Amino acid sequence: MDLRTCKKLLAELPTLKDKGILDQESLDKLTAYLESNCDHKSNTGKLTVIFISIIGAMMIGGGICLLFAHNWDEMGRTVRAIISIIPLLAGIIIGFYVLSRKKSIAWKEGAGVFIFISFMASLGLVCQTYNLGGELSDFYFIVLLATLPLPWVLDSKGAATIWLTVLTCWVWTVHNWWHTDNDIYWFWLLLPLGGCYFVYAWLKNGIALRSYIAWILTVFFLCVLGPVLKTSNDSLVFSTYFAFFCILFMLGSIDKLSSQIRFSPFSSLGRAGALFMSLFAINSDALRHLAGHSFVIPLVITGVVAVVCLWRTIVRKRFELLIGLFPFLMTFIGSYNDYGRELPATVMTLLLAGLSGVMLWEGTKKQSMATLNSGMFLLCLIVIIKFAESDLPILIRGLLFICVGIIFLGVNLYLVIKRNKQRKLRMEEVK
Amino acid sequence: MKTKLILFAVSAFILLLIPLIQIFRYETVISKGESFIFKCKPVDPYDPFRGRYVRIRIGNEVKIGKTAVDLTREWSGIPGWTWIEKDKDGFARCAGFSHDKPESGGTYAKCKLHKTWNSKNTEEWQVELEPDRVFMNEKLAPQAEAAQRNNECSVELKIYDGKVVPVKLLMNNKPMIEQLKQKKHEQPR
Repeated sequence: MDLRTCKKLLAELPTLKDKGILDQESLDKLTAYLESNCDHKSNTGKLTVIFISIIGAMMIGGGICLLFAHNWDEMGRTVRAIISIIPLLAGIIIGFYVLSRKKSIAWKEGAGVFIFISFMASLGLVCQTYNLGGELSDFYFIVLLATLPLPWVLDSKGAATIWLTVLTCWVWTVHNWWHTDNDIYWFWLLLPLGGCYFVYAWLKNGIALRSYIAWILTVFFLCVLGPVLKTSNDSLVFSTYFAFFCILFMLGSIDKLSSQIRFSPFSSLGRAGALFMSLFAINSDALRHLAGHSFVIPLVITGVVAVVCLWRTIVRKRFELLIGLFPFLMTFIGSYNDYGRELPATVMTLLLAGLSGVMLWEGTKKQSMATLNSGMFLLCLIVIIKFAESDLPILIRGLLFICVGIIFLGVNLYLVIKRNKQRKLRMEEVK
Repeated sequence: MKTKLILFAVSAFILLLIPLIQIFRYETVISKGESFIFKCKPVDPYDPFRGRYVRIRIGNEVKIGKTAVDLTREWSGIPGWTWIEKDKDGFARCAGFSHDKPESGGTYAKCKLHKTWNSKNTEEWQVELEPDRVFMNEKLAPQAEAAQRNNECSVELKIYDGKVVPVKLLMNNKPMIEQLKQKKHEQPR
C-alpha cells in the first residue's frame, strides 16, 4: 500500500465509524496498522532523500575541486594555498548551520559527506601546492585520524562509510612488500575507534539502515582481512577467511538477527564463502603453501568458531552448521606436514562428502528440493575437483561423470514421485 | 545540542588546523630557506588524490664509513639526516649520513639511506631526500618526462631547519614549465 492510499484510508476511518461499519476496537486496530504502515513508507521516502543528499554532496565536493583544477597553473602559490582551504571552510560553515538550526538527517548526511570530501581535497591541494611527497598511506592515515569524530558529531552514516572506505584503502596501500614497518598494527586501534559508530548506528536505527550496515561491514572485513593478516603467514590468512565465512553463515542462522535486517548478507555470503574455502581445501596442490606454518593463532581462531558452530548445531539441530568445524580440522591436520600434503586434502574431501551426505539425507527426510539439490551440487563439485587432479583415464572419468549425473537426476525424480504420492494420499483422505 | 555544537567546533578546528599548519610550515621554509639546485631525472606518475606529478629522485652515492645501520631496512630505506654541499658547478649534493639530527653547522635535511648496486655490480649506499615529486599539469607532466632525455634537468629546493620544499623544475638552468608551455604554443596546429 502506498503512502497516499494509507493517508486516504486513515482520513476515511472516522466516517466509517460514524456510519457504523467499524466498531471502536476495529477502528483502533486499523488506525494502528495504517499509522505504522505510513511511518514505514515515509521512512523509505526519507532514506531516498538522505541518499540523494549524500550523492549531491559528493558531486558538489568533487565539482568544486575540478573547478579549482581549471587554471590552477596560472595562480600564484599564495592564491593556491588560500583556495585549498575554501572548500573545507565552506563545509564547516554548512556544518555549523545544520547543527545550530537542527536541520533534518538528510542535511546532516550531506554536510558530513561534504566536509569529509572537502578535507581530503584541501589536504591534497596543499600537498600539490608545496610539492609534498610521502606515501599515499600516510595521506590516508592523517585523513583517518582527523575525520574520526565527524560521523559522531553530525550523526552521518555517509561520512562513516567514507571513513571505512579510506581505512580499506589505507590497509591496501600500507601493505606492500617494501614497507617493512609495522604500521598495519594501527589497524587494530583504528578499527574499534571508527567501528563503534556503526554499533551505535545499528542500535539506534531501523531495518533498512541495519541491512546497509550489515552489508558494509561484511564487505569491509572481506576486503581487509587478507592484507591485515598477510604480515603473519598464508596459513593464518586462509584459516581466518575460512573461519570468517563460517561465522557469517552462523550469524545467518540466528533468527533474531536475521529478522532485524533485510537481504541479509550473512547466510548467502557465508554459505558461498565457506563452501568455496572447503572446496579449495580438498585440492592438495592448493594446500601446498599452507601446511607446515606456525599454527597456534589460526588454531585458536578456528577453534573458537568450531565450538560456537557445534553448540549452535546441537541447540538448533541445523547440521549445515557443522561446516564451522572444518576450518579447525583443516588447520589442525594441515599443520602435520610429516604425513604429506595429501592427508589434509583427503580428510577435507571425506568431511565434505559426509556433509553432502547429511544434506541429501535431510533433504529426502524433509522433502526439501533445495537442501537435496544443494547436497547433490556439493557432491558434484567434489567429484569434479578430485577428478581434475587425479590421473584417471578420460574414459573412466567420463563414465563416472555420467554416473553422478544419473544419481543427481534419479534422486530428484525419486523425491518428486514421493511428493506426488503423498499429495494424492492427502487428496483421497480429504475426499 | 550545545554539546554537539562544541564537539563539532573542536573537530572543525582540528580539520582546519592540519592544512593551515602545513601551509605555515612550508611557507616558512620557502621564505627563510636557502636555495639549492640538484640534478634530477623527472618521470611521470599519478596519485589518485593529489593529482599528476613528476617523480624526482634527489640523491647520490655516499660513503657511510663505520655508521651502524639496520640491515633489515636496507632496501626500504633507513631514515636519517644528510648534509647538503655545493660542488664547483653550483649544483648541490648530499654528503654523508647520520641517524641523529645535526646540532649545528651547515645545511642539513631529512633523508633515507638505501642500498643499491652500481654498474660494477658491487654494493653501494645512496641517500635520497624526502621530497620526491613536483606536481604538474596533466598535459605537461608527460612532456617533462620526454624532455629530460635530451636536456639537463634539475630542481630548485628550499631547505630550512632540515625541511625541504621543491620550488621548481629547471631545464638547462631555466624554468621548465615556461619552456614547455612556450614549446606547446610554438607547435603548428
